[in-house]
Amino acid sequence: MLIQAAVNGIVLGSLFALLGVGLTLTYGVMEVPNFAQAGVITLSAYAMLWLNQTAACPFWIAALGGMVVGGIVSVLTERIAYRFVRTRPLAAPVVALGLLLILDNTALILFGGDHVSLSPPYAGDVIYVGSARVPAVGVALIGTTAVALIALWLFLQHTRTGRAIRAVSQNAEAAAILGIRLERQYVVSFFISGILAGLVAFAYGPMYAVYPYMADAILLNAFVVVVLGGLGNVAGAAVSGFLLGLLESFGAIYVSAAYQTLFGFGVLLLMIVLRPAGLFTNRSRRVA
Amino acid sequence: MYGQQGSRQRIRLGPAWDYLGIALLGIGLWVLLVVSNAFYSSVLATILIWTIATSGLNIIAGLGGYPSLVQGAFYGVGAYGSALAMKWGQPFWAACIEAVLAAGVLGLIVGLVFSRTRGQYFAIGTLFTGLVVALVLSNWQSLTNGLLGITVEFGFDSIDRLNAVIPAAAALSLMLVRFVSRRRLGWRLLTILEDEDLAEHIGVPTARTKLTGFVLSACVGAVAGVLIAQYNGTISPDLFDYYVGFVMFVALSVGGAGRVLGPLLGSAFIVGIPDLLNLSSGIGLLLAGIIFVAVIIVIPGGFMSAIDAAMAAASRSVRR
Repeated sequence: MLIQAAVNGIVLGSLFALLGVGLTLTYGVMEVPNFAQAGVITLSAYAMLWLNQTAACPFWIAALGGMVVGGIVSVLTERIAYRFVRTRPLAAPVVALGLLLILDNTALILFGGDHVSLSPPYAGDVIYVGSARVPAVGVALIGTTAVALIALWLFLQHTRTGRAIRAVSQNAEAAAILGIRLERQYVVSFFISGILAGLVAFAYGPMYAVYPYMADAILLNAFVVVVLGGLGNVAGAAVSGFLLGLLESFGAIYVSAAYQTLFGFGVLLLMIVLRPAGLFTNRSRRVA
Repeated sequence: MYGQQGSRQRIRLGPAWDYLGIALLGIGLWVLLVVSNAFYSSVLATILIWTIATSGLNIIAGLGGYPSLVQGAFYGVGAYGSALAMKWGQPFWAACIEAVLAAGVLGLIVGLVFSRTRGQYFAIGTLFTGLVVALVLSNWQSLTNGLLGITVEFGFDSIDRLNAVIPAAAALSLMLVRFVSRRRLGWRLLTILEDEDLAEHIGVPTARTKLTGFVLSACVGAVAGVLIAQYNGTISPDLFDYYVGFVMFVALSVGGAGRVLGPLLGSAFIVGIPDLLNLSSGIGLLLAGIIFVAVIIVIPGGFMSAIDAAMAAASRSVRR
């Protein structure tokens, strides 16, 4: 029971961490709470499904194609909508939700509202850790997250573009004065965040089901992760993702599974009341 | 809201005329509701009920500039609260009061926590609250009968009475916003909208003002909930899903946040058009999303500000 809860928590935590870093990346550079990320995940998952089942591509090609679709859709949201509200912080969250309505319902109209399953070749496999059952899709999720986090960390720390993104995230005006092209960093960040959404679709789709509103509720959990880690803090988001995952998984097993999301909400409440700047923040963005 | 308040213009006729105008509008809508056939009448009734809910939202989000996305939950508490109170043997009027009080208490609790946060955090926090309320409505089987919903006892003497109460309540909610906007609470909310730090400096009790505005918004939202429960006869959690609060915010912004008639105009667009065209829910929401994003980007003040601009242009050309 204990081991099972811990394993579930690590799987769930990987998901939250993967979602959280994508959100916090775009929040860092542009200060938009990108609710539309859930819609990008949905469209990316449907793209994978379509490529895999209708166009009969091998699963891995379909997964790759779906991620590229995620990247493109994410860049489109920035180009079509977000860039117009950059200077209007109050409009950003609601535009993000408007985009989410558009993306989710586009998926609904194109693909219908049924729950369908994305099945990778390893769908039925199960691995045992001691007495705990871990489905292979869970292992794939953990692996995907680990690779994505390391790749993102290397990219942000050691490439020119990565450094530019961090500079914009710390202080956009100063970065612009130093000759960093802001527009380019916005597009690149949204593209990476879209790829991360694609990875979520690839890892999360097979665990549950693909349907138009598949990512909405977990996205709100991911926002708890982002607030917990300090908005814009990538490492903080990764760590708090795992913390929240463990907490929700223990809550689901020992208290009630139906109210799993509620534990995330409880954490959000505690955070806002006790530590509004986030757990891991060093340069504070104002919360309250 | 959205940082363009400076250009906001109002056409002023004096308070008595404003209230008289709203009253006449209410009577006109009532006549329209009575003479229309069943289909148009039900569309109009839904628009008017949404007008009440978004008018409530107009207080905290329109006047105060706080993007509350939890109005749908107060709407739900109003509906479920009144239905359950009647099921437990309360008379209709008592059930209404209890439902509104319940929403007020919930608003107080949510407000106490989240009025500490600003802008985006407030949006995230209130959206999450809406999700939690929706979760409780669909999972607390013994109380709410889960996803199947519950039937609502009809509290009015006749359907005609209900058809008169709905436009009357809508007109009253518009008047309430008009009233609050020219009272101390309204002015204080406006100073918070313009610059919260500065408001604090000049002695506006910002925390208390936001909390009062939020609780008032919640109570008005619950009134709308009571009426939708009466009108529908059955209620289920999907009517009050977490995105409803957001769609209410969309309606307010499209109509014109902070403007008395904004909720009516916005509700007509966001609820009325999909209903009239008999669009499936997906296409309706897609359309709402597109209209909304376009309006926020192109006319940040909503349709009301576009109407103002058109009228100002017309009066200039007449004078010339």
